[in-house]
Amino acid sequence: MSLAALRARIRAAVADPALARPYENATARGRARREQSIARMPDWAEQRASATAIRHEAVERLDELGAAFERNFAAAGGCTWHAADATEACRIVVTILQEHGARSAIKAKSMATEEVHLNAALQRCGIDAIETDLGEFIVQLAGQTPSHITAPAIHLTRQQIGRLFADKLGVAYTDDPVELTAIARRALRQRFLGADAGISGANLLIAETGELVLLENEANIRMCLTLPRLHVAVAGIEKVIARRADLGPLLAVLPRSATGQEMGTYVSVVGGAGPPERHVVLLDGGRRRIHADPVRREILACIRCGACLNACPVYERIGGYAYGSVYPGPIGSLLGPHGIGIDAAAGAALPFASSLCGACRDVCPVGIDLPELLREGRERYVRGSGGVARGHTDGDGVGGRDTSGAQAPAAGAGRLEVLGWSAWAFVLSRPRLFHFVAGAGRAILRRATGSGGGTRAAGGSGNARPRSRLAAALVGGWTLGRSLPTPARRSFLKEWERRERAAGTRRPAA
Amino acid sequence: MSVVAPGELRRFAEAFAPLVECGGVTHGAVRACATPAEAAGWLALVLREQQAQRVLAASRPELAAVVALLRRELDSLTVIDPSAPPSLQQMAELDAGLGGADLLVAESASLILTRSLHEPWALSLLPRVHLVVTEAGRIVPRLADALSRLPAGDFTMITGPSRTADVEKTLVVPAHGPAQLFVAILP
Repeated sequence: MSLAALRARIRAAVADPALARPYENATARGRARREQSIARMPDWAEQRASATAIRHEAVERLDELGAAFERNFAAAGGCTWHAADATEACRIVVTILQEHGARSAIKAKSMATEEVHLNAALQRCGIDAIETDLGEFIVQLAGQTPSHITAPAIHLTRQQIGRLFADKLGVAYTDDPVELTAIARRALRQRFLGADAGISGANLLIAETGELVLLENEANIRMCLTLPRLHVAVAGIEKVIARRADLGPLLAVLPRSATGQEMGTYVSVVGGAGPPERHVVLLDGGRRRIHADPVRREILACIRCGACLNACPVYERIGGYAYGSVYPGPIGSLLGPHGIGIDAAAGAALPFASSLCGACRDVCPVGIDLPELLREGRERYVRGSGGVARGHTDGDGVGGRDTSGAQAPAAGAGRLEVLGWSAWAFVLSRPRLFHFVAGAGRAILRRATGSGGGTRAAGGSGNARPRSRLAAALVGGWTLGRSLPTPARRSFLKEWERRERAAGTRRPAA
Repeated sequence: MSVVAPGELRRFAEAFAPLVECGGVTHGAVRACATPAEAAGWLALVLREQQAQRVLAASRPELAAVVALLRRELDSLTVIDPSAPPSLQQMAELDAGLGGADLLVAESASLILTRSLHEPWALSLLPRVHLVVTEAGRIVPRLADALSRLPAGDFTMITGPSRTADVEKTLVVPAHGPAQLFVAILP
């Protein structure tokens, strides 16, 4: 998806009035609940700092901890598998199920299985897999995909869900959430008891003990983990943490960030020792490429709480589907260029689906600098390197005398834009040239606003001059309803020097 | 187990109260009981109010006194035989499961259960009503304290009755698990 295609998708989403209300309601509630739960907490900053340190340590030690997890999970009797990509992950899960003669499966909510499109693969192989999380159940019934990481049916109103249930389940129409939940409970009860296999994701993998950690509210995940004779979990390789004790800070920040709860209703910690027989499919799917990239590695610290989606003004306005990725919102826009949740070429422009306002960084419980990574993602897109790391990173693409942007092929931006930014960088990195250009600009603007005579007091910023033809030519329609401010006669630096001299103080030479 | 500071029991109760409130309906309670007789009396009342007939109890030692007293009042209270565990269908037909907790976390009002043949996972999962009898000495202030005491092996942490907010972010109790959670805490 080129930038132009992404912009077209966003324009279409913004123009769709049906999208605005559900998303606004849900994200506003999500933000309010998160803030309330954090306000009640005496040591949020400390817990967040601990969680950040734990996750960043885990990402740095990814290979070592992953190996330890496998060793310990297997020692207890579990089976671990490696999936390089989505196709392989699906093939592994299908193989495990078929080898055990499993014809039906109950599914816990899992973004990793969404990412690899497991449901479609199971269906092709004749395995009857049903989503059991209420939101996922609704979305599966509607033939859709989740529109939010932690709230899959956020895009649907209660009326739409009521009509869906009436259509597909043959029940009387109701739009009462209590009734709708009771209908799903009744519809799924026997499926829980009779399923051959449970399929889930995992929130975390503990290296020290070889255990999976899963958080939920509904109790459907507990059923998937304990009722059938076979359990298969699909988890990204980055989910690993070093120690069980790390759960303290992580469980302090994850539920609060996700739903504003002090604690998830059910936290399950299960190891390789059955029953049931347990398998874990460790999914790469592009994560190793991110890990190999020192600038972007911190993306892997993400614990998928969804707080950045709720905080993002762009997500709130365009909704989960406009991104075209399994992972919407700011975190999805960082995963997309690496082919996670969306084809890498199609996901390359996703860093542009952001206002770079920084709200996502403010709420991130594991300290990921999302806006900076999004900005850096744009830079790579413009340089034409997409998700691929540059041979060397200079830390600051504009600073210094690095004008390589001008020579790099401009995949997304127009040549004129690239030329403009190169000129900007060229001027800004040469102080004398900058002062000359700034002085010239000031003179032109003063002339445009009709105050070029130099009669006004130094430092004055008077405006309200009649609109001149030069001003109209420069900024066009902007001056139809307001006047162009007059720049000061002297630059800030010159004015500062003048005042310092007037005050009789000495200052070091500039 | 170490002796718990009295404040921790109060903190547990304070954190528990909002967990069982949903749309003006209360879905459970916690009660400090001085004796097994008090706990049995209270739970019998709860079971009558909930119209729970078929009740299965875990075979944990700390429950024995309460279960013996409850049996005098309830005809259909059975106790798990670890050598002949009940089937899933049998568990699904129960009205209430009576179990214990290995540790309790005061700050979040969480119950921690470890894997045991004396209390199958389904007992706290499938019946509509989940009753817990435990001891104040098992309360720890924070999750970190519980994590440092837990032995190796699977555990589950339960914080309130089953819930969802997947329809327009409106909180609903229950989702797929227990609708009611009652906790009796003995000294």
